[in-house]
Amino acid sequence: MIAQLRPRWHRWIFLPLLALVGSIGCWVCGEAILIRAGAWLDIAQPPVRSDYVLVLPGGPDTRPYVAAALAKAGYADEVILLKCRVRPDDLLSGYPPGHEIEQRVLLSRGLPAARVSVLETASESTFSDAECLRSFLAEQTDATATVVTNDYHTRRARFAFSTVFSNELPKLRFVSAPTDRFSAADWWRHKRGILAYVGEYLKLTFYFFRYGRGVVWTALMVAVGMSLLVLHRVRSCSPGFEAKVRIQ
Amino acid sequence: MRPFKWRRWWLLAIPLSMLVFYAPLLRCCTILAVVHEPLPAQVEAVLIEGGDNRHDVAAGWVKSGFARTILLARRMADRNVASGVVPPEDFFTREKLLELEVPDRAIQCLDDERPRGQWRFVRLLGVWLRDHPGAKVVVLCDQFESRLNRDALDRVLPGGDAQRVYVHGLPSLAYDQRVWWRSRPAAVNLFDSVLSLAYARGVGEDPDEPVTWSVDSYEKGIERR
Repeated sequence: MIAQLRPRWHRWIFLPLLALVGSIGCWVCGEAILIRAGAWLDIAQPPVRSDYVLVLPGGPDTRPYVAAALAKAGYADEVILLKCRVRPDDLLSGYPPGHEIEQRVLLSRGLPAARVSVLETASESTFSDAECLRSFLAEQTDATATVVTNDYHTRRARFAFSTVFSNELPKLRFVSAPTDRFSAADWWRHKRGILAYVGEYLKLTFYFFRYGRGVVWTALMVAVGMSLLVLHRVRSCSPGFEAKVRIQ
Repeated sequence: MRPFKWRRWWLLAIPLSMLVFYAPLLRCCTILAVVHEPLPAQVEAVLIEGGDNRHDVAAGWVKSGFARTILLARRMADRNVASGVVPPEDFFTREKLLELEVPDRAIQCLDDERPRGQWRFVRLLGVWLRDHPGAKVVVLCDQFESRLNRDALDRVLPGGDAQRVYVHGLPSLAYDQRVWWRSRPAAVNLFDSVLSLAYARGVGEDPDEPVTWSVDSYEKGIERR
């Protein structure tokens, strides 16, 4: 009965109007929103002196160059590289593994071999990179490290490292390496930029649920939503509410 | 008696059926990225673009007489190649093929200073096809990139030339494509391929400029801080 009293036509005006306003808003502020969305992923800090620079695997043509620059400028004594889990095709292709290319880059930039260490790990994700560094620093209680990764990857890297290091996170700093082809200011104009930034948001969501408190927050939001729905139903079934609607 | 509300039941039935039939539904998603093209009895050349186990497949085809030549399209030099840290990828491919007893004369590298962009290999192949009228070529690539490559060939090459090229997607050694949702790399690869295809259909070719910032300038900037 109450549903019949409500004007149904308002949906047919309200929803297209909302879509129109939304579209105009996106058209006017779209670029600003995309820039903000891109910049949000970069939580890089200015470099300070630390004992080690860790190069996260995955960007052999950018990240080791930044690590070399930091080490050469005196921001760190030693650069750490991680060995990754080898894919079956990597063994067959004959192409050098990522850590080997990174090592060649560091040496080509004039860093002495004695200042480069390769950790014998089988890393396969940012989270396992964090675990590798954690076990490396386990016996060096006062040691600090600078983590170098690409700008759009720094937020997820800090999330993974904060989960692994918990209250020891202040020992770490995150420095971002600029990415070739695109940046936070124009990532949506390049295919690789779209793949990187959209993929990063999806991975961040995955990390939030897999390693963070995503499940708890979702359950909490569902519970609140259900409670509001039940409350609304109870109120709408009460005689006083029906009388109010009729008067209106 | 309350009237039966079909709409509510539909709302329940759709997610329930998705839950029950999730495997065939997810398997259907690969149609977006994969093409299967029957190969002819014999081809003039096979172009190695990507895919797992590509060297063995190409070497096997040359040895069996299915193909005469292996084509390697040189990629645009990234920072590491440009600065001489690593040789171009075709260098390693050639070494691997020689290791597999493919004669050196059967390997041909396609290179040119002009063609740029994501579909550079298609343009290089286009030049080769013009020099070899009537020759058929197979492009070896990752299975999830087969539709994307077919799309690129149809867009860049003239109609007659595009029909002389066959795309052959190679299955991954790391995961089973039929159950891609069980492997994280498979899901990432499928996502990348579908998004790349959507970009290609909507926007076109990506300019793909591999080096856009200077290491020397960056180093100077760090030293000044």
